[in-house]
Amino acid sequence: MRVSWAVIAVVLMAAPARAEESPAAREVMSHLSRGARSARVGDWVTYRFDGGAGGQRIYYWRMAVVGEEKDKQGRDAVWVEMEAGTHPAMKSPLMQMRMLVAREGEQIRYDAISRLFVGGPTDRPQEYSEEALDHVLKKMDQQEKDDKDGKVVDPEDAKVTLPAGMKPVLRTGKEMRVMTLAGTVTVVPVEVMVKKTVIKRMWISREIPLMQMAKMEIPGIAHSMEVAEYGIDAKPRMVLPPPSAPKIRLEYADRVFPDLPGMDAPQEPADSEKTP
Amino acid sequence: MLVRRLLLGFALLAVWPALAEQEVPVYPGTVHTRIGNDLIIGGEYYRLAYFTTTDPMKKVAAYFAQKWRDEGYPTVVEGDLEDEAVVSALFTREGLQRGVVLRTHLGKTVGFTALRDLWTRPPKSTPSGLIKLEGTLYSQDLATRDDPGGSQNRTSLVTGDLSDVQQRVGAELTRQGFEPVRSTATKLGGGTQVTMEHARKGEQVMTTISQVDDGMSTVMQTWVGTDRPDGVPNNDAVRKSREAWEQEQKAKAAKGAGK
Repeated sequence: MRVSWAVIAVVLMAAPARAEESPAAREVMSHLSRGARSARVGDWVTYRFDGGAGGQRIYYWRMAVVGEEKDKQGRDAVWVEMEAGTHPAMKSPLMQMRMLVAREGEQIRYDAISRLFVGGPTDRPQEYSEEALDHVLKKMDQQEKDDKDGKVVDPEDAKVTLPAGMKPVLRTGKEMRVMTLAGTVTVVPVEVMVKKTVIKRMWISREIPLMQMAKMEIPGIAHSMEVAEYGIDAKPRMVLPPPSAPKIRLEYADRVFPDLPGMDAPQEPADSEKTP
Repeated sequence: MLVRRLLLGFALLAVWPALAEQEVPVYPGTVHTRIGNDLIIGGEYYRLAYFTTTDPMKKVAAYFAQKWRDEGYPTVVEGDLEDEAVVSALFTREGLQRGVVLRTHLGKTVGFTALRDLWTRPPKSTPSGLIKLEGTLYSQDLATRDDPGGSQNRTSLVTGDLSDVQQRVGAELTRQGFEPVRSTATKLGGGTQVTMEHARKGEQVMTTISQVDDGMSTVMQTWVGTDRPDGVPNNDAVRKSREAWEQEQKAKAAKGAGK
């Protein structure tokens, strides 16, 4: 069975509770198994984020699967577009991203990006050069490894930040109907608890494409996200640069200033300068 | 987590151009007067217009802010909304910024509406006849997009008193092949303002110099691609325009025949 992002988030938040052993995780998986579908071309979802501050930090984030093709390694891959802006219609997104990500079976592997376009509020979308993309992905891989090895203290890692005996616990409710900005959907409510404090509330729904998340709240910081719109008719929307347009290249501070205090020695091989 | 990290990576963005083919913002019920055609200000393409209205500034600002926000465009309102206000919105899919600058004048609200192209940059070309003197502290260029027959302007703040700057401007223009046509000095606000006209075949340059402080002068220059006193493009400009029009017609005809 496909493991959705929401389930991954649940399992990660409650690290001690293994998915297959936790009744809460079983409840979520049971809900998803009755109708949740794998991501397909056309799936899209827009969330409304409230960053607290009395409603002064409202923004919208959209994710859509807009195409599919083989990537340069011959793997099945899909084009995923992400946009963030101040209005759900995204007529004028302040951030845009379009990436070709590999998929394994029904699972989209967001760590296997082979092409990446990004655009900002005042910039025309531009593609990352192969060298720049490789560098970013390597850096993220390394960070993931460091996190796993415990080399880096990640504040989001419950094992590190929580004192002994403060294990987060998952609590689920019965399947129910809940009203969202996108209409009423069937959900399973999930709460991540530490002792009697609710750290995070989630309403997981098989009806919501891609994320299977209807709502989420983090009461302690008054943050929330809620599905605003969703559908299965997504089309590519990013205005792509012409093929001849220059690609984004990175300049590495540790190469330009090798003797700068606090800089690590250059780690990239000499052939990393080649760009398409 | 990966997604969030990638979103953070947007800080690495770079600039890339595109074309603006849309109109300036409009306030209903008023007459908008275009300022020039397509202008190049500070190396960026703009279209500008102005209007006046008896509506209070707050109402005008609210109209644009509400309209753009309702349409889904990120919009910012700045200013005290009494004496001045700026409302602007980003149109990120088109690479445009629309804005209105509001001021009060003689009991009316004056609005300057602007369309700014965020993606396209004009080719860097030094305006002919417009000079940059040694000791220039600040310089701003303004040009029209549609040469020939257009005009280009340069405003500079230069170290030097009036006579010194006047002499240097004249010498530089002479070096570039311009000949002096006339020069006038007028008293303005207790100071003296010198206006010089120079001409070269098919081109005119008008330079106005004012001393604004001890050892500091402003130089405002206008270059016009014409040798006619009414500023209408000269024969060469007309010929080029005609050729461009004929080529466009031929291209249209060829396209039509190809269907």
